[in-house]
Amino acid sequence: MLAVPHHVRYTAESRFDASGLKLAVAVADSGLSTQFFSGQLARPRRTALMLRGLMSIVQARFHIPAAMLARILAAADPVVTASSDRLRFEGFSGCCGVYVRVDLLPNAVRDAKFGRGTTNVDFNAPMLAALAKVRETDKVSLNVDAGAVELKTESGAVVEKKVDLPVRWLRGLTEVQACQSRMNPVHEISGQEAWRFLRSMPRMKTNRRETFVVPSGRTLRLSQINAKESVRVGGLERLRVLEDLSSDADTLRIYTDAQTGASGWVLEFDDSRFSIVISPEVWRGFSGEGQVLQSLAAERSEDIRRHIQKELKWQSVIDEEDLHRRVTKKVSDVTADQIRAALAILATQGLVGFDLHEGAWFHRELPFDLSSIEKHHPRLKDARKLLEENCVRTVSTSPSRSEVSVTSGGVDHRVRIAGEDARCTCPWHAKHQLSRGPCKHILAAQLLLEEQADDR
Amino acid sequence: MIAETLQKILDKGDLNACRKFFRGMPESRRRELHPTAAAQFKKLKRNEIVQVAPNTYQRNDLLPAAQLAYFATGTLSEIKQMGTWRHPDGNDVFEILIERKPNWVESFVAMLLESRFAFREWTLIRRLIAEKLVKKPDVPTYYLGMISCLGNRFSETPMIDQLLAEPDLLTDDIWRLFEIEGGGDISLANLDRFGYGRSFAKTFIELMNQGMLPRKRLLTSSLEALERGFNHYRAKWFFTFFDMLEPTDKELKAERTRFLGLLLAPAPNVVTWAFEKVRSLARSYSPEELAPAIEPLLQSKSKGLALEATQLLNEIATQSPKQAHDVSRIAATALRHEKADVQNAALNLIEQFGKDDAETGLLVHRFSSGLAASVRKRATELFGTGNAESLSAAKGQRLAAGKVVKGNAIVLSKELKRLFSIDDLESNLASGLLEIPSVKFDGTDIPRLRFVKPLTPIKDIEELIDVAARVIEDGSLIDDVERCIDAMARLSAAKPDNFNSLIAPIMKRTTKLILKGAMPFCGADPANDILGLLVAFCDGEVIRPKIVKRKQPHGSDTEVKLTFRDEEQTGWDINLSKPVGFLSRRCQAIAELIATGKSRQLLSIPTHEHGWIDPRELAHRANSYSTETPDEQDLILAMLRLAPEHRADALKTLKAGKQEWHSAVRYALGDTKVTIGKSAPLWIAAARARAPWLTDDRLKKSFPNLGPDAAEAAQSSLVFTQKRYEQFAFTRTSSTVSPPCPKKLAEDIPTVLLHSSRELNNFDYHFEAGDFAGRTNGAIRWTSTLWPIARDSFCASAAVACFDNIDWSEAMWQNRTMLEPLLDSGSPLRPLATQFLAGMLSAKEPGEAGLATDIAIQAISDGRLGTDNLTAACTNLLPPTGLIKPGRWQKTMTDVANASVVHAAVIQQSLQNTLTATKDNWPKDVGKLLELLLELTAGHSLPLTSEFQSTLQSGNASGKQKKLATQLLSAAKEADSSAVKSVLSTAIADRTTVAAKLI
Repeated sequence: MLAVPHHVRYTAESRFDASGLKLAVAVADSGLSTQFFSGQLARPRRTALMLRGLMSIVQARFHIPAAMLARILAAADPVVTASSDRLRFEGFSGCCGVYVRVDLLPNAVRDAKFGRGTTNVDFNAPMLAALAKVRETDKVSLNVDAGAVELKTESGAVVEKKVDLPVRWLRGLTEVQACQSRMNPVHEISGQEAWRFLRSMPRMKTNRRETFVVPSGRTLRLSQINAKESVRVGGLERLRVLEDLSSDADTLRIYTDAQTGASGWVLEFDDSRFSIVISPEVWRGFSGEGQVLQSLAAERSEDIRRHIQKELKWQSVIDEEDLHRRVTKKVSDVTADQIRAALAILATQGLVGFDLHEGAWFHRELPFDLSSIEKHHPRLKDARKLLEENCVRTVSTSPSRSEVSVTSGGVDHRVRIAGEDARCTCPWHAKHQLSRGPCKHILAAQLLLEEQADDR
Repeated sequence: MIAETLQKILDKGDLNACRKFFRGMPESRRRELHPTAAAQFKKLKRNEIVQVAPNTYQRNDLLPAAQLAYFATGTLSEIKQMGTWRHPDGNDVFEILIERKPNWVESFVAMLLESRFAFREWTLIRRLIAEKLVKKPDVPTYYLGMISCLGNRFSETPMIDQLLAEPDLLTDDIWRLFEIEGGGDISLANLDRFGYGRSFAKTFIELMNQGMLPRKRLLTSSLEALERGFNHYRAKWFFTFFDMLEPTDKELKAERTRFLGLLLAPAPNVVTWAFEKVRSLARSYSPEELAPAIEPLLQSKSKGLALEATQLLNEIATQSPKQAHDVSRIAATALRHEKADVQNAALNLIEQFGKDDAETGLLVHRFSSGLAASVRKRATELFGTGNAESLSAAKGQRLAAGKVVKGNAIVLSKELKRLFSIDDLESNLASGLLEIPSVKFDGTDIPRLRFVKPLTPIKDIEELIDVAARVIEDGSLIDDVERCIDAMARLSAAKPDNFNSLIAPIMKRTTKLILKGAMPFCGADPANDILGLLVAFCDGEVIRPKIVKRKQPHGSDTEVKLTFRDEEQTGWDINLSKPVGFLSRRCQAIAELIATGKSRQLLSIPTHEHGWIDPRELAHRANSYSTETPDEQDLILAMLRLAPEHRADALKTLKAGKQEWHSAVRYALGDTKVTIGKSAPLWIAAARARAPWLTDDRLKKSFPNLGPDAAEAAQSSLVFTQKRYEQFAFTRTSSTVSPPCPKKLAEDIPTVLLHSSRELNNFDYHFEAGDFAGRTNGAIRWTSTLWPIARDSFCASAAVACFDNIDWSEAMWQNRTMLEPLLDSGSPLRPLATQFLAGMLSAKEPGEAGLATDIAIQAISDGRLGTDNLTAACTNLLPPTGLIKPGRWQKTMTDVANASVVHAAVIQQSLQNTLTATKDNWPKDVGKLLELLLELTAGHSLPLTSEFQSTLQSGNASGKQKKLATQLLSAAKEADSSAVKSVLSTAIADRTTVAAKLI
């Protein structure tokens, strides 16, 4: 299994005590504020529950592949991003199928001092146990920094965590952002109805079959039929984290990505949001989604990406129109779609995240070594290899349709590309069609056609 | 030389000699011997299990010596490749490590602790610690190993002796057990539960009594463990242990703050336990700290706990009037609870302590939209605006329904009105009678093709390859399966020049799948049959499975065997005697045809979804057979798949022919002037297609005693038998059918095969081979396309299969698929189908119950499910069978009722009729159904029938049921005649819309 070593150094452990919640973030390498955040929590119990919910996802493995029975992966700590007006905590499940984010908006904290940056944050078991006991009436301060002085003197310990982050996990965490950007809102119900709906969900594991969430009067119900306006959910147990939180929420909004069937569930409070994004099936991680592969394969957008990257300044909400205007000043003939595609690629590089509620990207830089992700994307790697080995040749090409022969595994696969539609004769394409992105043969064909277009 | 000596020892498998051989051997010598040891180990690893006598297998005797040699000579990385489960015995490992003293011993221990089997190695690790070879590891798996080893019920040494033997276990390790949760296999909870008397809790208490463990620390550690938020099952051990310590009042009081904190614990059983403690210590808390701590309990999923919390709030407010405001505000949050009882209790508190409190009023207003219907009225009385929103919404819904009727300009014929029971509904509307009868059609008297989509034939080889590639990966795409069969039969004689290169990828995949175990033409799955057809289509080779005798002494004495690419494969032959076996044999016959390179338009290819064939198209296809005779299986299937409409037109266009099959097709299409021929399968199919529900007297004389759905239409009914196995009571479902099944069913009469029950097959293998319709979703869907016009026999067999697993005792994931045909709006819900549907509303598995709910919602919308047939089905299932769990019905029927006012009325009326009819034999928890009835009656202002009111008044009910009966009678007084009109108007509008599809 491919893995990227990830070393995190904390100068203290996170803890919750009478003086408040002190979250220790990883020691900054460069460019990060020492003081990440400090403030007073307006709704301590709610925030505590959200942070516990976040960790319950991070520590979960909803699906353990048969080949990995003996190895439970140590997932990375959550990531915190401080921008000018909000704190975002992000986490990703060990099975790569559930992404979780807690957004603390300006009203969630009083007397707040925000730094800027993204880094790992230590969440340990004693702190989580202590968080369970927080009541709404408690006064709780929140400090997020690299190591509170008083803690340092008390423990004098430096906490070091060394984990090998599977490339699959890293790729999933970045792919999920691009996936969110394709999502559309489908349902919205009140927090009270959401709470009842979530409580009524079966306790039995449902990961062997897909279930659909459909509207039923003012609320939602589970259905087995893929009807219009239904949201596909594989493994309802993954939504259980929303149950406790929803009783206090204003609304629950559900989003879905028609292409992959992934869904986003956002609990909205007056001062915060708790979002999870789940893959269409329990066994299906976001790492296998290859919708941005075509864009990754295309080299032309690199220039646009470079210019966008220069415009990223820890914005909590990136205004795409404004960004478009700014980039257009430097690169001519850039369309809004190209900006969007470039942002999706930047998301796969860990440079931006997507906020479903805002319907917009936000800037943050994941504190992981992501340089190898693209390099190790199996399908893209294989496609480039096929091209290098001269296994790809054009059979026929016209403006509307191209046919390419790709020799792979001892047979010639026929790839037919007509506009947005692409077909291949390989078993992978037969199983998934384009729902998980193109197969390596289609990618190889596209790379070849692009090369030929450049030559012309 | 030395290597040869080792090889000799290893060849003999002499473990003792091997031990002696390595004893005192220097490290360099060991490394020299590693290649010999590794070669032997790798060789034996491949033959780990060997046959020592016919049908007797055992672990290879030579392996232990080879494992020891490998371990005694290997480096850490080499040992890692062994796999921890192949390490030598723990004593041998210890001795080898003591002798070798490798610098990697710490890493070796870390590796053991990473493995799932680490608990077995705990003793070894302890010995290594004692020898100071390693430090004590500080990882959870080490302590889980301790739990596992000490809790080993096969150990001869008592647990207490084991603990006393190693003092550091008592001073240090034992306390870490209170910090580690454990997992599915190993935890204090699990080991004590399955310890057969070997108990950690009892041992700890004994040690405490002996003064070896401090009592105070045990009490505190238990509570600290509960604060860690462990899973409910594992948390239970800690609070049970705390109670076993029998804490004194003083000790309890000392922990009073912790108990309050535990009310926020994530595990519900911990909360319930903590609440008991809090209640007993209630006086030691101040009202200011107690009241807010209770608030989260008002949202508890346990109704009892939420009600107890309201009681405690009542006590707080009564004793401390200053808290009245807080109590009423806190009580208002309980209005979010889904249970009406909790909402009522909350309203009691609000009425008593906060009726005039503005903040409470605001909260009541905020949560009013979610109030149970039976509580709304009271909330309105208390706070005026409480339920205005809900009431106006309900009225708005009714008005909107009324508008549909007025604005509807669809004119239906008298016959359509009769078939859809619209005339009955109109008469009920006129008389104000709330009865919503189901439609009257039986499936043969309405056009069925209007309800399904037409299928587009595959046009060329390229498309065929695309579709077939998908189908061989997913055989449940039944329409595509049939399209592929059609295309292969049509296109087999017209292969393009580049055919070989086109088919190369799919043939590679086909070959791989068959060699991996797919069995074409054996009734396994449609995808497998497509693989067989592809082999015939692409290579001209026909796979011919044969039924052969099995050599195994147990189980079935036959199996099916096939040879492909010189490799033999065997599998179950049971499915060949099921309907899917008939479909497989049909595919094999087609394979024989296309392997010769001939092409043919098959008769049985559906023109529409779900297997339907437009009779006009069949006539057209039949006319294309000038001199050839169609395959009999193809012809049988074609007739059974005939849609009821356009038969007369088809008959007109069908060319006259002299062959027997011509007459059979004419007979199927309704021609009366035909002479019955000799082929029983052919004529039976024609008769079943012609009049599925009727016995054909002419055929009965010609082909007697062939079973149900042969010449005689089957009359099935379900039989429920309550059985007991040890302490488990369960209900077996079977079906009786008239005429009875012969001992062996004719495999060429597919309608009879629909009755292939488990008893006729092999019950022992039903999990592996599936029930009457096979093991896969594809096989079941395919079976349902066999005879789409009449699904009674399918439903009877499906009900037997599904009801027997209604409590999900086996993971029969495919069973749900049997419900799918009932989604078809043209498929009538005759008694067996309705019983099947109603029964599945009580299924435990969410997918099965969920699909049944979807079907019930759709069937009420299109009129197939009404108060008459639902009442009949429920009355049959509820009292005598033990099959129905009222709680499950409450949940699924609530979902159905939420769909619209008509759905609510159908459920409400059917439930009352059912409860009236079964009044002397209500199941124990019928209260769940009464609760649902109460909410539907109050929520929609619907009336109760006079019979049901008499039943409620008759006084059979007691306790909670009596209370609900009183509430129901009271709610019935609020019944609104406009609600009845609204329901009936909406039902008429819905039915009219569905019926309009047939105009």
